[in-house]
Amino acid sequence: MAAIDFLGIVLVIFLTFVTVAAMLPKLLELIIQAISLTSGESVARQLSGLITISGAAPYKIEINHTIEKVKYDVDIQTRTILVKPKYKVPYAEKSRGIEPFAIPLQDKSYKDVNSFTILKELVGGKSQYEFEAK
Amino acid sequence: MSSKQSKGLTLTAFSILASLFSIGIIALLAYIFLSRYLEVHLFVNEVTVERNSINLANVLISHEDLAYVKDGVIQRGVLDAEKLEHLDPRMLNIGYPNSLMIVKILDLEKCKAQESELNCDGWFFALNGPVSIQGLSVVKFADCLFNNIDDDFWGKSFRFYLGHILGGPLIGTIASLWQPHDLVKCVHNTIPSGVVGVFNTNPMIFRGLPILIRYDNGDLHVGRIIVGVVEFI
Repeated sequence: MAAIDFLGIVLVIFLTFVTVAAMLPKLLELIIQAISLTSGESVARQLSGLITISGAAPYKIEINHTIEKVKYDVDIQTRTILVKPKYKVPYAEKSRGIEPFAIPLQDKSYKDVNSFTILKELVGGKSQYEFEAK
Repeated sequence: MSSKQSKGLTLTAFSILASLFSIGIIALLAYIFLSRYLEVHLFVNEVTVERNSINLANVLISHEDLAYVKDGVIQRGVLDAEKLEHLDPRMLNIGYPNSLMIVKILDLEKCKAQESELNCDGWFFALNGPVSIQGLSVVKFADCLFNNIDDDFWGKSFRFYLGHILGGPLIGTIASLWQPHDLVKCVHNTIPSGVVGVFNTNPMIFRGLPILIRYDNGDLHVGRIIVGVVEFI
């Protein structure tokens, strides 16, 4: 009876091990992908890249960028953008990101936004940039 | 062996096996988590400076103070030699914060014979964004670079230029002006403790972006713009 119990427990542990080993990577991948696409680090990188590259357009360009489902607090200060996501799970809120950009923008702060507009115009022969979020 | 004695032996063997399985599962979980976590973050870090350099080069080649204007239309990727001659980099108002950006514009049709493409005539200047790090001395950094430049004449000009971060382009032969390892050394030797300097030595950046250079007489030369970014984190 003891041997059967032992084999049964080993079998349960083995099956658990196989299941976890097979499912965990996929589960982790889904979680990491979902968080990385909407994380503060990722969004800060996206926005800083778009802000800088807007300068590569001669004359005028308007870039609209919206991130679904997640809201953010955004701070623009001294040519850096700080993005803090507002996830429902508190531990993920720490995944804020800060990224530099290379063009002059006015320092501003926004709360609970996920739609961003970057505008470049040539006014009087000089480039002017604006950033708005809502 | 009595049944009482063998029962104790079975429990011990079970405990050992169960412990081994538990350790194995925990180790597997730790490995999967750490390997994936580290993979994501290393990927992000390694491309940051490279991406910044490419973006900045793209901004420069369509900037109204550098690009050639034909019939009122900015020609992206075609730089005006006349504008480069009288360029004041401060007026560009472009640059990453807490970074030193060195821009080289090479005329690939004005290279010395039998030399590498770096021995070409061209322009170079430094861009600087806002600095918020206390103790960061661009002058010290420039002096360090100066000590690593072989050519005395251009070395002095380069130091003066970087030291004051002021305008006025320099034109001449840019031969071995600086090497990536010199920049890395200068970053590490002149940046205050607690501030980590990162310089991207990716060869792709040092090849730069292709451009055209238009001269006053209408000649168009094939050239290249190379943007090096030293980022002080």
